Amino acid sequence: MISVLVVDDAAFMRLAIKNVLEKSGFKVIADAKNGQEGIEKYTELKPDIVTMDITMPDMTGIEALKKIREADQNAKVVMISAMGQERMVKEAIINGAKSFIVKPYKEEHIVETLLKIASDK
Amino acid sequence: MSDQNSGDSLLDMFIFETTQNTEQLEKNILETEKNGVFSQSAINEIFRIMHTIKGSSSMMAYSHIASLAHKAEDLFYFLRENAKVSYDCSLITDLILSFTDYINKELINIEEKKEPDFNGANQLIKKFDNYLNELQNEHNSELFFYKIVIYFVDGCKMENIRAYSIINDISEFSSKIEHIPDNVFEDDSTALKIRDSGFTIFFETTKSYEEVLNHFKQTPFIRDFDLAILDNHGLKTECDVDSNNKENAVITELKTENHQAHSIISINVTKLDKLMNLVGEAVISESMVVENPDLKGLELQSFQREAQHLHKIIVEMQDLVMTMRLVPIITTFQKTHRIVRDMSKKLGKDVRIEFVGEDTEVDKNIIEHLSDPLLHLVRNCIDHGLESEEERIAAGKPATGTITLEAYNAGSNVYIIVKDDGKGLSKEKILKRAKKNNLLTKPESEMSDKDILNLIYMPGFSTKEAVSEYSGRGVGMDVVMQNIL
Repeated sequence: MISVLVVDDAAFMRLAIKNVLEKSGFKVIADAKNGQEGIEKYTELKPDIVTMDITMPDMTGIEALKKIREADQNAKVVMISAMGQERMVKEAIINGAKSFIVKPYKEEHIVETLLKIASDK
Repeated sequence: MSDQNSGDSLLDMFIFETTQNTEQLEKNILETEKNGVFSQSAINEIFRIMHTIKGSSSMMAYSHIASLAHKAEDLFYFLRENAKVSYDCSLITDLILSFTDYINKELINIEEKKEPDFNGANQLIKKFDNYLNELQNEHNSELFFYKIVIYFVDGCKMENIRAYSIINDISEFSSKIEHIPDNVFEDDSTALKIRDSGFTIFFETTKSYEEVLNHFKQTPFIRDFDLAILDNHGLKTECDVDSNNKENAVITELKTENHQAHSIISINVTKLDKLMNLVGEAVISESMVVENPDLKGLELQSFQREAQHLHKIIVEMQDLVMTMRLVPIITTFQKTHRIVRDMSKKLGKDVRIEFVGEDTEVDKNIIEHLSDPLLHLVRNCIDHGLESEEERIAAGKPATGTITLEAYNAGSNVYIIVKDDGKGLSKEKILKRAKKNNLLTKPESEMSDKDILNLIYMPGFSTKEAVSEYSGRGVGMDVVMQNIL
């Protein structure tokens, strides 16, 4: 079963993503409400995939992505972005994000993206 | 009639021509290296020179030179036939320069009738072989050219950034990628175009069709894609060199053509000297005739008129003979390109050399004595004068150091100026050094600035702490002085 860590500052989003993923057979092993917590949980739990919100207080998703990729070159991080954040998404891709999902998203997009990324060696 | 037998004159011709060829080769290769790419015409020209050297040396039965030239020719044959192969320009330059160095050394050996250096030739042949093999191997690990048109999932948004992400992925296994639209990273409006007509990519990789297919199957947000293998001579020949380099290559091509327009023959200097002596004799003999005591008291109107005409012709001849010995200083200046290249590479300093007044003509005899001191001064400029890149930037100077060689006529003198934009001479350092090496001739307090600066011309003077490949032995400025005075 594919394990996922969901990082998002909005409780609603964490729940929404968790629901979609668990319905489709993923295991959401933890969630985090900011970048720092995300990094800590990643190092502790080593999930297969992380979904990372971009705009979060204190530490942005991009900073957290960089830190996670520094610690683990093979980390698979999928960014969750809002419309109009092109510049940030570009930065995330340069820094090794595997893909990105734009809110509002369709459920099957999230599922399909995570499945493909998980199967990629 | 001739005091040389035909065998020797053939040898002279061989040495002369081969020297010219290696000089030409060096010039071509250094020019090409600056562009970072060998244009087709540069390759042809280099190939032709190699071929000539091979032909004439095998005629002269110098089989080691011939087989070396043959190897070098092989390399350029390969480059010529496989225009698409990617090569290391500076590595090839190194190879060719060691090739010309070797040939020049061998030519001296031949002139001095010494044993040829077979070992050197074999080592070089091995080097050429190795690089050629490397190129061939790279070439043979077959490359495939792909075209793919990608359609993203409806409503996935930010299509241009998804496209960028895909390019990012492909770049891990392909070095040549082109795509339409091409500015997906900067221009967010391309998202619409991609939504409507898809994202088209051309790329080159050693990966098989299956592997590439799987790669795209695993890429998220692709709704549909159309992957095709293009044949080897497909669309992609144009992206071998970026357009900038290509333009440069064209410009140098034009330049070389211009150079060839001068029609020049080479004349043995001894013949020229003889001609000059003869003209000198003619001047004397003319005045002996005109001022002949036998003519004293005679009224010779027509004789005087003709004699004046003769005088005019002889003066003109004298001037002409003098100018025949004049050669533009550019050939001497150009020799510095090599030293600048070698040193800037070894010392990690970025150096540019500029010529001013390189068409100034100087007597052949003087030119011959100029090249050693000139090279030495340039070497000094790079090693002592020009600072390291960090120092230069800290001092607010451009990172690239500039050396200027300037020549001009003033009256009957020719001035040659070697100038660098480096840190200049340090009087304290010079004094300290001179004291340490006991080079001071009078008390320090009596030394004027000029005296101090002149110390650098003393034999044994060097401010370098350690002897390096290029300087530090204190043999140098005194030699420059000796050569010039």
